[in-house]
Amino acid sequence: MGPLVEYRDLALTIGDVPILRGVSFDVAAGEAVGLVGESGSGKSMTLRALARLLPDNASTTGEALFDGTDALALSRGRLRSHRRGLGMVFQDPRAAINPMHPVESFLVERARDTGSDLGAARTSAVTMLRRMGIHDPERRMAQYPFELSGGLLQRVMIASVLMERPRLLLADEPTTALDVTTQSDVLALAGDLRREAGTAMLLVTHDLDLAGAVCDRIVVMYGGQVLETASATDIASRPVHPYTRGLLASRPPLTRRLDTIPVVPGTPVSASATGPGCPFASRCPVAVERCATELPEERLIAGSRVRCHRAEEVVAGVLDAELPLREEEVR
Amino acid sequence: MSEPCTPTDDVVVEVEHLVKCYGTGPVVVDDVSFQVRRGRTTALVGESGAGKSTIGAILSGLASATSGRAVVCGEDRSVAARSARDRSRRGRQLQLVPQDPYTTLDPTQRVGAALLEAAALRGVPRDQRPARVAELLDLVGLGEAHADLVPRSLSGGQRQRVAIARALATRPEVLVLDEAVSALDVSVQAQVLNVLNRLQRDLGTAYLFVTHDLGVVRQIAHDVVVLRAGQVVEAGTVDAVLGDPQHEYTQLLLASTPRPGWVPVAR
Repeated sequence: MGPLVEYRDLALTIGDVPILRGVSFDVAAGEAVGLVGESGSGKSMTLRALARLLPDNASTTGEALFDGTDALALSRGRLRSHRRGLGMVFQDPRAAINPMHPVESFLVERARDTGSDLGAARTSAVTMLRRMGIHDPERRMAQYPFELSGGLLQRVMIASVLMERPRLLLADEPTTALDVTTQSDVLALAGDLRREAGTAMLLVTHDLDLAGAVCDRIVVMYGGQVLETASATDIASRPVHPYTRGLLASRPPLTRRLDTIPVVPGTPVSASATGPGCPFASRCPVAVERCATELPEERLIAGSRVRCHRAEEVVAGVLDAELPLREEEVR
Repeated sequence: MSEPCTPTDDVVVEVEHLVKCYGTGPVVVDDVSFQVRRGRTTALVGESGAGKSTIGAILSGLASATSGRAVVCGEDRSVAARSARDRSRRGRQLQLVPQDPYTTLDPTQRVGAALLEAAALRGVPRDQRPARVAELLDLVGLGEAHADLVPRSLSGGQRQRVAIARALATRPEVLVLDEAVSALDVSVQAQVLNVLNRLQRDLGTAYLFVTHDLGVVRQIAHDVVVLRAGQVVEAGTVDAVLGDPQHEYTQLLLASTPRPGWVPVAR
């Protein structure tokens, strides 16, 4: 059996603007993969391509396969049933829930559409809301979306998606707008439900620590390309790509004040602003001449799939003096 | 020169028993007291609805207090400024840097013009203003080429530096930074935090830093005030509050903050 999700050299252009330049990775059944990057990295568009939630003027090459089917090659009619196998959660739940109907109507929508038992759907919704940390589910279901806080509404959204037991959950910054205590709660509860149902997850986030906590594997994106893919533990303890090292080092540590936080100079670039070489070359502290002209092949080095001409030297530690180092120990 | 607080006075902001209610609604700031010392940073931390931005707004003159005192450089700001001269003096003593500089920078005005204007408000003589603009850009790590750009041509981090430069143009005693680095990419956020720390060492500006991010607090603040639902639950030095939190809410905030090796836990 092949992987549940497979990106094969996906390139995406919106109008004349390149967004993705050849993205390849996969997600196994039941696996949680974190898609991590800064603004303009293309992480959200990569996720959306799997459901073909793209602007009208988008054009693509390559494939975005879910369960062996390429979403980008489907007819409109087939696309609809293709999307049904996917659960989707975005940053703002208010954009996805009809404000004119009570929460209950949203939760039993699927049962109503398919003609299933409404009473059973309602019971299952109550159970799911309770498991997502909502203490008075019956009362909440009678309320309208505007009566619920953002945190409560996102719990409702995740419950509604996971109660269908989809094979894949697409989550784009699902907890970014929530307070940290709510975020911790939602991630823990949703993680339990997801693992029980055997649902795989593709999680888009800017927070590498958060991704490491809830995902099995991490894909680091920059400038419309994948620069490094490795297990969550490897990314945290022995990152290979200089960009991954920079991302880890520039996060302000909680335990100790630094004189200066180690930084990657400059600002993140999008795919439209990168040359033929490594997209990170212009900011990379260890870039050499060929980095700007020649895109490194993806290679398997020390457990990481990484695109970097100097990966062996990084792994050998000979560039440590020039690379940003994270101050905080991994415990 | 700026208009200094009493030279011997180490406290530039003194908030005492501050209370804010909107109409007959809930109390959003409930008997809050804390200080900001000269050249130091006090962080106001807490989750949404904690009242931290409201306190910044009262100190900036954007909101009035219901009761209590909000003293900046010896002057109580819980009452509105009476004259243009009062407002102007208050502006020179304290400046606000908001989360999104798009909301305060004129989208049609070039960076250089915005800084010239701020220098003029400060009373810098006309012939010295261009030099002052160059100095301000240099302070926040931008070049003179940036002076010719409008805000939309800048990246988020550059825009935030312009907002900081403009706030510094009046050589204020205090900057109120309201989630000023929260919307930035992590690699850019680190750069801006480094700039802020360097500026404080060089200029001695005091910061009131409103944030929900405890990692940021550790890197920038000397003192912390933890707020929940308008009330102070714990306050002290950064080492004490983050290193050995006494209140269970502070402990919960710390436990919920992602870091290496972190695992989310349901309450």
